[in-house]
Amino acid sequence: MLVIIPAYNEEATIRNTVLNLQRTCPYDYIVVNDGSADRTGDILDEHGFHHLDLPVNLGIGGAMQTGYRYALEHGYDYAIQLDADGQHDPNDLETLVTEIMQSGYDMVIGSRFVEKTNYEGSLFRRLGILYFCYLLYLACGVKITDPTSGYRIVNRRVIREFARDYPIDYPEVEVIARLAKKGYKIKEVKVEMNARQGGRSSITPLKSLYYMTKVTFTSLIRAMF
Amino acid sequence: MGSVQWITILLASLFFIQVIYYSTRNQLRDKQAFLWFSLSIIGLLIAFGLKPLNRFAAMLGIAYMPTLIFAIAFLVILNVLMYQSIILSHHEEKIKTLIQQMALMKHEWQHNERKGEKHERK
Repeated sequence: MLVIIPAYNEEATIRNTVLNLQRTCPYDYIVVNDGSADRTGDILDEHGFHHLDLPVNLGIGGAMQTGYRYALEHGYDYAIQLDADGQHDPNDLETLVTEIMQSGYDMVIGSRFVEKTNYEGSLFRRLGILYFCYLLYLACGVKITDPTSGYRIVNRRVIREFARDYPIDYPEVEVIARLAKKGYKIKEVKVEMNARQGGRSSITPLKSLYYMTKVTFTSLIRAMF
Repeated sequence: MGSVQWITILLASLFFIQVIYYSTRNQLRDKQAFLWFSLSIIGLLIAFGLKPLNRFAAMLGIAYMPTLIFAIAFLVILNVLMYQSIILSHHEEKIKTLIQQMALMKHEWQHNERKGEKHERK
């Protein structure tokens, strides 16, 4: 079991995220420092945290794929994505692990909406998520309540798939469409998500527009071909 | 030959020389050099063959021949841009793979170095 933590300019949160993870679960982890321009790399070195250093910024998809390639090369059977900004609660890791092992599904997504949680997102964000839910349902026939959640676990078949090909930016929704199209089984479990513990979200209003359009286009392409 | 044709031939020749110049200086290579070489030859052929082109345009019912040339040129340029984007995407993918491989190898190397240090201390 490998926990992959992609980190780009997360100097404010990376230390606590890794320490929390070490405290709460026994699994191996790897931080993928995605060409951070701040002190993220120094903090990882200072604390001796297990990490990979990408010499330039590849984006979340490139960083995650590096983690999947690492998982594949080192023979891990499962890989979990955990955000470096502290939004994902490591206490929920066990829920994801148990679910994927017992259900035999290929991907299990930690969802804020499959059951009631304490999550309070903005109306705009919720509408965006709802839009992607319907998009995935109409294009691929899968019912996913939280397709933008990055908190997810995959098995070795999917690790192999992702190590070979993974979208560079905004990968969450697109990979669901791709896996659904290829017949992989996906399910969700309830998780709690915290507010960002520090740093800034990379999504601006202009980027949101690009995000919605790009993800719609790529998801439809993946679902159809 | 009218002055329009002379100007067209001059411009097409300048473009041809430009392509040859970049190719000889290795700034255009292999497939890219061949692509632009082919396009510059087509440009020259069009410049020399304005009369047959006029007849061809008339055959198609196009009264003003340059319209035909612009339409074809537009399609060719669109396709060249598409081709360049495909090449760019391939290169992006290759660079990404190289960067990832570098990070994985660096990690492996540091890991082995640490193991070696521990072994020496024992």
